Amino acid sequence: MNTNIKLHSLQKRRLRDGITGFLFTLPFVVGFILFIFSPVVMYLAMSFSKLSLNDAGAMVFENVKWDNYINVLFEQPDFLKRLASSLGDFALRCPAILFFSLFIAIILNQRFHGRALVRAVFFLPVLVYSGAALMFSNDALSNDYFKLLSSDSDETVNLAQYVISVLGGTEDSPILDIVSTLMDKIYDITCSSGVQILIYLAGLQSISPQLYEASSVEGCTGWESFWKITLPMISPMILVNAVYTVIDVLGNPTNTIINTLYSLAMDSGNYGLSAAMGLIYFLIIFIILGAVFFVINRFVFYEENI
Amino acid sequence: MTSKALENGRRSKRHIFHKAKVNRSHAGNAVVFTCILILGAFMALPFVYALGSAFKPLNELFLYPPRLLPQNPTLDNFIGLWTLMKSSWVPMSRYIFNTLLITAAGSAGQIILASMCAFPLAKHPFPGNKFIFRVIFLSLMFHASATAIPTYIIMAKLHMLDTYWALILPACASSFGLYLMKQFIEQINNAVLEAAEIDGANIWQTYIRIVMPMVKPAWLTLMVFSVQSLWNIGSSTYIYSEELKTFSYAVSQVVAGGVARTGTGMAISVIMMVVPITVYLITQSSVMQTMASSGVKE
Repeated sequence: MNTNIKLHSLQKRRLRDGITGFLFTLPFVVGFILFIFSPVVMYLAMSFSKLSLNDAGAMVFENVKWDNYINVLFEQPDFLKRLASSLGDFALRCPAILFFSLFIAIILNQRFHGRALVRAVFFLPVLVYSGAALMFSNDALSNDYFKLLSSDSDETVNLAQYVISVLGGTEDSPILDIVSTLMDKIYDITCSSGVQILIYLAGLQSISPQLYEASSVEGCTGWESFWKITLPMISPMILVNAVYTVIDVLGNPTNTIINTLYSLAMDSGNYGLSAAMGLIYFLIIFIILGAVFFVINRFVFYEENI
Repeated sequence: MTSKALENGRRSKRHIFHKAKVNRSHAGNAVVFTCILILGAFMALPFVYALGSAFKPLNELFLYPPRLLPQNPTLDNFIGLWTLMKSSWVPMSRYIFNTLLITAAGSAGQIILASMCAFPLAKHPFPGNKFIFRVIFLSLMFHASATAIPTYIIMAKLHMLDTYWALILPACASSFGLYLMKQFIEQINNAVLEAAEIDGANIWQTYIRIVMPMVKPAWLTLMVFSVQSLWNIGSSTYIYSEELKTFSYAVSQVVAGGVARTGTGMAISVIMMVVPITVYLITQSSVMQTMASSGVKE
């Protein structure tokens, strides 16, 4: 009798917790349905139709079935070329960004003088690049934001050229070319790593210091504690960052495909074609995202699995 | 006796290893920090350049090769900006108020909604929670600029065009914010939550008293992201009354004045960067002492 009552109240509690849990998710889910889910559904509908304005200025959808998709795949030779180059660029940059940002985050997580300042410096590109620099945005599509910041002057001042000119070198030596492309790449990767570094840092901050204490009592070296503690504990953040890097690199406004999508819709008014192209592109992102998630998730260590 | 000797031997061996390790890492540290310093200098250079240029008089702005720091620093650019702003049709304070309101409400909304949704998804499963998470995760691949037109249509249907809501509410529903929060909340040791439950805390109390303090680094990081992006919202297709437009939009109009406004533009870019950098510095300094005292004894 007594246990029966207890069981009953336990079930009741489970049910109540389930309902409360659901209520917790509700505000976000409503916002999600309104501002993310339904636009996507409409986007899907747009890709199968030809959009035009009637005399009254209202939008008219005309169903054209797969025409837009056929157009994208067979009548837009540039699209596939751009797609290939954009994916190739991605394949190089994504792993580079992930490793680089983890490396920097681990260093920035150590205690040293001026740590706050150095951390801020590595986040500067995110602040400068996406914010104020874009205001001079005639040229926002260029990666060289030094050029952006010197905005209106006609000379395109490359960072490497600038440094070398300050050091008193000449401007057109072959070494300069190599150094400047190399620096451009490093610079580019550092600039795209700001958010990732910050996420890794938050992850590193969340590791309980007791783990390190215990391991050092047991005689663990720094190298061992990195592999046995830091890496497993940070692995969920590696997954988050991989996901973020995929959507950031492939969905960045400076990406050629995103650019094409935008100009097709806004400048040429060809909404249907733009939507079809977008959906093909997002399907590819989806496949990449799925593959990345599947591969990395197998190595992720979750606390509850102990 | 023998075991003691063995023990001693082991200890001394370990001692030697330890020492060698420390020495090596000192040398390594020096190299690594030099690299960091060089990289950091490059990262800081554009910022320093903008800062320097903001204080340059007109004749120094177009020097080639450009100089990093002004030779005759002047406040002309800021004074020029001030005069320009005073002459604007809608008072500048209104633009600033708009931006502050949107940034504060949007960031707060994003953090609260994302963490509230993430908590049950990570720790209190209910029927359908996996499905909800998967759909949200899938939505990550759609870029906001691509779905701008459908979003516009939906906002028109909700009568949200030309109100603050058009900028605040979409910011609250951030899929990536949710994903970040879920990943962090999942890391919390279940024993802590069970302990709270045994002590009689309900979900709401657990969320406020246990979960949020424990994932403070996560939501402070999320705050940096959202403040950063909301602060920089410029012209928006959803807003067309002049009184509702943002500070970023107003100053971009100033910069659009052309070459003659280069100095003013530099002054603006410095002012625009100050707020996100301040938020960043404050949050980072309070991220430091979060985790020190939490954990379980088993």
